[in-house]
Amino acid sequence: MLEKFSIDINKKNVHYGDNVLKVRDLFSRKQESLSKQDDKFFSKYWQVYAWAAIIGFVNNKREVGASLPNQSSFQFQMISNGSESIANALMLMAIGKINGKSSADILDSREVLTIISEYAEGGAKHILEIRQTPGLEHKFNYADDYFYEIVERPKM
Amino acid sequence: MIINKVTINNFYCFLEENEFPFEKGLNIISALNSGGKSQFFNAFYWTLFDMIYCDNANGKKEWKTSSNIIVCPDKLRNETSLGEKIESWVEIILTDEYHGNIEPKEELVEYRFLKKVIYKKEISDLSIYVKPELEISFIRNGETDFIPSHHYNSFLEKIFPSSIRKFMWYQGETMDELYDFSKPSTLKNAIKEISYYPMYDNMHKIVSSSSASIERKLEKELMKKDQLTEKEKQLITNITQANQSIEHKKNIEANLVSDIERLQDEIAEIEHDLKNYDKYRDIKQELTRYETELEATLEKVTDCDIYIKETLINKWMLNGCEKLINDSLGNLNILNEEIQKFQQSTNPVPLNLPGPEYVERMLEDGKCYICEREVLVDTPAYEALKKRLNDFEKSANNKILQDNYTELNRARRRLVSELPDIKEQILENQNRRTELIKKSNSLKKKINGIYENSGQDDGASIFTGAATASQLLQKMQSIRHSIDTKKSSHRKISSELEQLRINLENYKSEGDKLMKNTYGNIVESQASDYIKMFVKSISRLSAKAHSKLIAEIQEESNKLYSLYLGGKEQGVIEIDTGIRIVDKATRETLTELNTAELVAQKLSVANAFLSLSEKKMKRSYPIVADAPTSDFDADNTYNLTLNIGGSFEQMIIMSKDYASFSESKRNDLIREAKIVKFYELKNELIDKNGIDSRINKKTFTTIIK
Repeated sequence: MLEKFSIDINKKNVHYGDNVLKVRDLFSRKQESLSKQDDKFFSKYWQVYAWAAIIGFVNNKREVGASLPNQSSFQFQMISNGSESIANALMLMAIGKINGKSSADILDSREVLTIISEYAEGGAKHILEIRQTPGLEHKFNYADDYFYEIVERPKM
Repeated sequence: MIINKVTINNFYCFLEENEFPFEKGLNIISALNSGGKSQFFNAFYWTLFDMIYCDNANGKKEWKTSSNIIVCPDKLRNETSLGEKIESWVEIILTDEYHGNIEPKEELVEYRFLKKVIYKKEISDLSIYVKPELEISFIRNGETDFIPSHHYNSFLEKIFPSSIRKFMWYQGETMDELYDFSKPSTLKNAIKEISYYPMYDNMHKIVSSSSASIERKLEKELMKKDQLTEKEKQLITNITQANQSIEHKKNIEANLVSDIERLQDEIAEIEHDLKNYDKYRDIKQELTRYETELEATLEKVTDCDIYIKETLINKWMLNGCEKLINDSLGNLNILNEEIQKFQQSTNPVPLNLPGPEYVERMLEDGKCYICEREVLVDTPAYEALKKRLNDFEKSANNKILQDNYTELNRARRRLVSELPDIKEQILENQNRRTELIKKSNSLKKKINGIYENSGQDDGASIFTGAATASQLLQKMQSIRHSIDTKKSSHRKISSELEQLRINLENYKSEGDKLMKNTYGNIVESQASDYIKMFVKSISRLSAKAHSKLIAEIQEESNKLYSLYLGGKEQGVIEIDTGIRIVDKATRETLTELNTAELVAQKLSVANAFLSLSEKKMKRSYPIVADAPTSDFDADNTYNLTLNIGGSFEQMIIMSKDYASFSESKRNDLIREAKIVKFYELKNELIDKNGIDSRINKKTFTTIIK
């Protein structure tokens, strides 16, 4: 008998690539209070992963077949617990990218996670590239940059 | 005393040597703000009393001991080369009665006060090379003589008595400090200086003590008489005891009176101090209110920041993802199709049939528990049960698929409906944050404004000021309580004294009757009678002199008061234990008087002291007044100037108020007020094309008359 998709995906580990790892270390502290004042915008790893993935989806930056060697950081459950909206959005955006014919193709939780991670990898790469642009070396070092990026996204 | 000449060399804005000859009569120094008049006043105080009225660390003016204050002009301070020395000095030449004369003999000598300091330029600034030193000399019988420096204090006290000194040197800004008429001692001390009244006091003390002594002797002599009866002896003992008790109680009474006066002086001093500190209580209250509001606003900013960041991470970063999320619809439809297809092709499993666990057990046991028959493998019955089990699984899977579809589709719908509002939410929250920041900035400005207005840099001094104000109030309350207690003791002692005096009189009249002959034979008895007569007469004379003196001060004060205000005064000055202005008709104390009235009142009383001193003691003092008319309007300034000069032998007024007069009005004033010297000071650029800085400025003097 099948297992419910949300239960299945939640208990799976999220795998991610090296660009996400770099971005993670640049912008996130691990498991610390959100109100703590320092230079890192994110306080949890899942947050920076989800942000990178969203940047990837929004800018259509997918690293198809990217190597995802970092496999034991957190389960998808962490994202669901942190923000149901973000977890659902990531799942649905990934499902939207599956070229499947049946429910078995579409509700393949590992496949869904891989797609999210490929976009996260693409998004992370995109972020790192932005920071290599002259004049934008410090992009995303300050909270305002996140607002600008979000508010100025083109309406799709 | 006449001030003949003041020469100021390199003292604040007075660069190089500046000579100011003065004459008997009214001398005016006119200057706008920063023109140099207050520094002119300081030149006197620096030379004679080693004090300077200048800014303290909080930017407020106060009297400071001047020995370490650098008085050199900024220009020299800036331009002098390393190691070079600068001399600053002030010379005051005045004529006064020879200080060696106990009684005035109209023997006038010229005194010269020269105070000099030498500075040396070091790397950072000037340092004191030779400390400020005063030299006092005088010319008598054609010979120059010097006052030894260890006699300076007594000499200065002799020619400028400290209790009258404050009336000579009038500094507008410190008027309240100088003329504190709320203190009973101010009037008392001034009276001592300007009249012979203290002599009555001394005479009264002498005869009272002689009277007490002769009474004791008389009692002793009486007791020596052998022929006294027991009753007479008892009477003498009673008189002695009553006299002793009266003496004792009188001492207590005098101590109480002096204590009450001292405490009233203390209260007046505290009230004066409170003027400086009381404001801090209001400031502290206002500051605490704003600081609490600021703290709450900053907390709201922090809460807002946390909310914005959390919501950004948990939701807002999905802004613009609606289409991407909606793209899942195609695949979700595939799921839905599968679900629909399954429901159309498969008969729903009837609910009354045994459940999948039951069928699974029948297959495992090889027995149908409904008909109790055996179900062998590969038989149609076995296949039928297996098919039934498969139907259950398919149906369950379809149910899960249906749940997945429902869940995902619901999430999609919710997200797609919520996401378009994100931009609005972000802007709304950002606006809220901006408003809070604006509010906190405005509160910070208000707080800074409070600090600026109070002249304090930090909260600590305000809170200390507020605490000091509370302490002063507490102290005042406790002193008031002490005064009440002492007054009540005084009333009790007074009534006891009254009773004792009645008793004594009774004993004495009884004694007079019984021992008339005995008294008459004792010489001390006659002496006692004479001394008693003295005591009574001197008491009467003293009281008369006191009331006459007060009446004279009052009359002179009112004459000047009316003159200074050009006859437009609201009331009259009344002097009893204190000094106040009362209504001309009702004699009720007038309150809510304007500042000019109060200044005129204080000035006229102070000037009355000086004027009477000249009349009674033949000791005249010049008045050197800085900004006496600063609270007056132009007419009052004109009136005061017109009338003030006539009341004194010499007066030097420094004021900005004449600068606003037109040339013709000024000339009229010089003529009408019989002004003998009129100087105009202007602080201006030395190099007209140079920088606008104190290092390029000095005071220029124009002699108008």
